[in-house]
Amino acid sequence: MYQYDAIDQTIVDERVRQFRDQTQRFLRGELTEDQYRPLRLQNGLYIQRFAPMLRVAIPYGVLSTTQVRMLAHIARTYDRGYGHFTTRQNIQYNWPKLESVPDILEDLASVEMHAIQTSGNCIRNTTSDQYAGVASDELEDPRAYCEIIRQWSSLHPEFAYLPRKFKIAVTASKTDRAAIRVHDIGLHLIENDHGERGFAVYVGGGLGRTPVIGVKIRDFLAPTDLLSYLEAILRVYNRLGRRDNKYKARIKILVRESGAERFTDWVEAEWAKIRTGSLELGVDDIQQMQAYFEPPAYAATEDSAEIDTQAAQNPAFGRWLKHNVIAHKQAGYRIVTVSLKDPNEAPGDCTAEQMERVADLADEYGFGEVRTTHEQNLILPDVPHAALFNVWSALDELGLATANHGTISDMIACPGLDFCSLANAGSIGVAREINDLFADLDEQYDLGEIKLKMSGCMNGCGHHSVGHIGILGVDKKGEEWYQIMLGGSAAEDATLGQRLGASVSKHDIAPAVRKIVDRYAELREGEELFVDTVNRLGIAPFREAVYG
Amino acid sequence: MILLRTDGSRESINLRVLDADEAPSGAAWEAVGLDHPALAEAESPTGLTLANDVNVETLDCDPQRFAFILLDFPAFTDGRAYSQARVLSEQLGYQGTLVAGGELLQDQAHYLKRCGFNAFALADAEAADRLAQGFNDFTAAYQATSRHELPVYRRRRA
Repeated sequence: MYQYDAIDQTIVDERVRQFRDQTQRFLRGELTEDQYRPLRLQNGLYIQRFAPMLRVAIPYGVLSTTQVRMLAHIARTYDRGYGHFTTRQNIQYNWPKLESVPDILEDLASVEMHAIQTSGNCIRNTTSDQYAGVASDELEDPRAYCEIIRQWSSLHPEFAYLPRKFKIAVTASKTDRAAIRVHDIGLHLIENDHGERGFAVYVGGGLGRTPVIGVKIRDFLAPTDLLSYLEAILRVYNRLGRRDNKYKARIKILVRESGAERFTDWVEAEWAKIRTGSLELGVDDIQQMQAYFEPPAYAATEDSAEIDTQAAQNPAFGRWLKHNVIAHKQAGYRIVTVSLKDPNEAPGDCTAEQMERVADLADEYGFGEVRTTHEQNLILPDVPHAALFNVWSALDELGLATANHGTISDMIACPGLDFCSLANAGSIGVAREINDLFADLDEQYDLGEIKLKMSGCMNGCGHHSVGHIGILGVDKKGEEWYQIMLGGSAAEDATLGQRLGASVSKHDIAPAVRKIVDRYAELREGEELFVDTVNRLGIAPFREAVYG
Repeated sequence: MILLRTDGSRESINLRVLDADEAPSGAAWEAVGLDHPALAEAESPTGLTLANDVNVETLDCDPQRFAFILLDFPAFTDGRAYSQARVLSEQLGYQGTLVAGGELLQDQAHYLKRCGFNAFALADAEAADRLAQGFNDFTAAYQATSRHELPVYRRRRA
């Protein structure tokens, strides 16, 4: 993985010093709340319902075990012993004290981490495929490009005060696990007809109040042109994005109001002016970055013959093996999903002890690396096949082996009204009620892949617009109500869900999900997936099931 | 008004933006807007002021005519003038004094400097002191932006 040199470390250390000074000036009354707010947001610090919330960047979801242990240390020392992994592959702490945030940042800097641009109207953490570098279906490892983008976008002097937040995602597999088409810029590494690799560029996707699927503005961009093209898009957006209404300030509105063709013309014209300048990457610049992401020293190993016996003797292990373990590009290895979706816990929450033990497992049965996913789980990327049983046993003891990856209980949910000051309605309680109604894992397996995504408000942190089943919390005269959407997808066939009907009360939301799924079970043909049934029949039968 | 320069020097100036019916007097810190009739005359006014929604790439007057160009930050959270400054200094090769005005906080100082601003119009000496403190918040950067930096990937291989 990437390792800081003196330049990276200086920048992060200086940002800590700057932020400490900003916080002290605020506490001394030299900065007003209005002046301090954008400054703290650009460093991931929100003032929440009960305490500040600090969002720490995990660039493209990659962590060393040293970093995981530091995240655990921070949870224990400055928070209440746990953290919440987010849909942007980051981690949030919900209970730090404002005064202690500079110290947290200093601790983070000591392990090459930071909270730079995890909020605010700037370029956010670049996200990617959680299986980058180990996926059996990828064209090449996208992480080198993610890191190049991270460096270019960090403290970029021109783009720190954009009209609104700006998110970039990169994927290099046919299967899009990074939801690139619901990002402000989505980059898809592909091979063209001449066998050259480059990026298909999508712009103007986004969730939130006005969900939009991004449009392709360029079929092929040479990797050496990556930064100049990004800079051209950002400059056009900085200049022309709306600033009169924050709900219309995302780039998706600019693309829609100007038309994709005109927008593309502006970008291409700007790009022509800056393409061959210092922004043009050399092939050797890219190779130098790729060297950080060379595969680790895999052992020449084969699949263990004992695994079938182990699975037969331990049905729970067998279930986990089937659902939470996937193919690796290296023979004899597997990718393991560490489920943060225990039905009794808030989706994405992880205790300090769990983090430390996962780090231990990644050291013992891997190469010291852990990933975070936008679906709010953790990944052990390099587990030898023969070690799967031991890894499962350890995870099971920690409550991290719920064999539900891809099922309805592997749901995405924001922290909701319990923590977030933006939220209109709770998510965590509803998640628990839904889990209670789908307690039988075997039933979940029969139902197959159902991506349930829930947000406590229309900002859409829980990606409800692109859930197979999406749930959106709304405020109705001070009460928590929920809208339901069906048929969305964040994958390569990105689609927005359709609203099922009027919102339902907190009392009725979990039963409504049950009715929808029951109707699917009646209507599905053979092994048809939930989303395919919805696409085949439309939402009418499901509307009837919920509203009668 | 205090004019602070990126080298830390400061001077007291009388910065004036002329109304369209006001003729330039030739004084040092007079600026006109794009609608000023003096722009059509051979003898240039000293300075030009641009609203932050002007596309500087399509200016129909030569920016080099002006000893200074004043760009505006109506709020420190409105970052359009950063792009204007970079285009003026990097693409159009503007060599004069690029002045930032409006709401300038010390927390923006390093961004302003790196985007090509070399002078800052501030209300008083105290504001100038505060802004100057921010010039050196960062001694390192990833991007090549101001007039003489190299991007990080070039410096690493140097």
